[in-house]
Amino acid sequence: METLVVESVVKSYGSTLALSGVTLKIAPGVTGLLGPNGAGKTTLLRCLATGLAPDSGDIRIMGRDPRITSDLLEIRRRLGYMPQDDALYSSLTCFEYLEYMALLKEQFNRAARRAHIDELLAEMGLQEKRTSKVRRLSGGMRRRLMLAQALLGRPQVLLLDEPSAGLDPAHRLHFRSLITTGGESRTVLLSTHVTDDVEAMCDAVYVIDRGLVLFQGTPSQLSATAVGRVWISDVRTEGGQVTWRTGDGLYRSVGVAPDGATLVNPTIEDAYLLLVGQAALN
Amino acid sequence: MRLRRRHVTPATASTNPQSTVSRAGRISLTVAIARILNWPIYAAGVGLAVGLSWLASLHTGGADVRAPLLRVALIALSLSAVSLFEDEANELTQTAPRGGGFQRRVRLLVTSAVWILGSFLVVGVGSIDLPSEEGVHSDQFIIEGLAEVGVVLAVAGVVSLSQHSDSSGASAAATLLTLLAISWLLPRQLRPWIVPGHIDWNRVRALWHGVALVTWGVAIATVAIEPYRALTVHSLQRSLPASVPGLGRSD
Repeated sequence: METLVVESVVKSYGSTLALSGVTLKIAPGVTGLLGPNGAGKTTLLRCLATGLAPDSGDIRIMGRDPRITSDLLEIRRRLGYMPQDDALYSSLTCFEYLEYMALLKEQFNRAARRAHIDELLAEMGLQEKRTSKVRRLSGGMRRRLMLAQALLGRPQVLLLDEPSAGLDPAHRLHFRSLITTGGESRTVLLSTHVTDDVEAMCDAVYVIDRGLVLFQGTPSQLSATAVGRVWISDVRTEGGQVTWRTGDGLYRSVGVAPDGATLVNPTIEDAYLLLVGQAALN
Repeated sequence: MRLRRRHVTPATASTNPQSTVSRAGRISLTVAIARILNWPIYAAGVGLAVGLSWLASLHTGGADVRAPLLRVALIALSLSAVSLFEDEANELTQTAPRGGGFQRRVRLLVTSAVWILGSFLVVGVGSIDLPSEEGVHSDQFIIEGLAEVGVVLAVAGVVSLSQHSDSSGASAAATLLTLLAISWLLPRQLRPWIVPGHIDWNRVRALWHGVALVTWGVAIATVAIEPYRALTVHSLQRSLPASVPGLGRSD
């Protein structure tokens, strides 16, 4: 059964249409949300996090309607949200910040709350920063602290907006492990630009652009959409919707392959570029 | 017959999920919210305001100096009070079970309480040995200050309901400064709260009473509204069929 159901959701900011009738159904597991800047990913996540009300359309989270007051509260109790921008209090220490967020999430048992926070700090590799002020943390540490607050209360639904941005390779791998371990029992929706993360973690993927869903399926289905449309050459060739020079000096193109082109196996990134490449270039 | 206090149990929690927070939990939450408020800016505002009012209390310039100094002191106090309403993590906290209305209620209560204390301190210091014939009335300043802080809290409250803005305090401060600038530009006869004397004090007091009441009413009303609700009601109206008189969309 789907945990997150979004039907024909429209959201605009003044004259700018951020979501123009998005429909998606997300089951337990890890689902990726790919799209270029301004595609509407953050708006969609904010709507699902109940921080933003859509102009029209329906949202159901765990079968509940956020427009109903009692449902809204129940949804928020089972939801973990990590926004794209760091929502931190710079004057607090890491522990104080997590403790405050835990209280807002109704964790009133002091001993249990503190044990849970220490456990999360250890998982995120921030135990040494327990008493450090948030303003003294590096960008990567801030992201880890944001992820820790999203995991407070072990939520059933986890909405992560660009969670791996700013993480070093070691912490990115650790983050993947954390998300995929929990993803077996809960629903994780992951908005990202990093196609490697989608390939490594996601059971399903949606590609959105300009407020519309362009693709839905599994990561392998996404890469399959580019079969026969990715090639390499020594020189820049015609027909490439997007062409770039690789590290070994060859040109890799996606688009309509010219006759005699050396076709290669597509990656998720190739398929993604084929779908939104022109918009991304613009 | 003695009425017994109703205790929330897990059984009632499922039917009334809003009331599952115990009194101890509410106290913990209130203390935590009060702790994270931006106290340094407010303290700086109080310090500046008290300093100005102390200057006003010196008998150097008479009413022409004393009144503007006290007004500037109250404006500084009101603007610094706005910082208590600002939430750096608004985008996140408004999605937490107790981060929306509850947090705004605590912020409004705390801001109101400390502003009232601060304004009495400022006006008290500024009114030391104040002769009534100077045309400067302590209660006049209190009401003016009440209206000013009412404006900033009302604007901060309304803006905090908007889901697209995380800078309610900045908007409130900008609004207050704009209003003051406009009033400063008005002809002298129309701005008796800037220049005292030769005015009907009862009418001015009534005017400020009105402004204070309205703005405080708006400020208090905003804390009872859930931000998600505020726009969802609008969304629901838009989704209703046009045939529903007075409720459906007009297009």
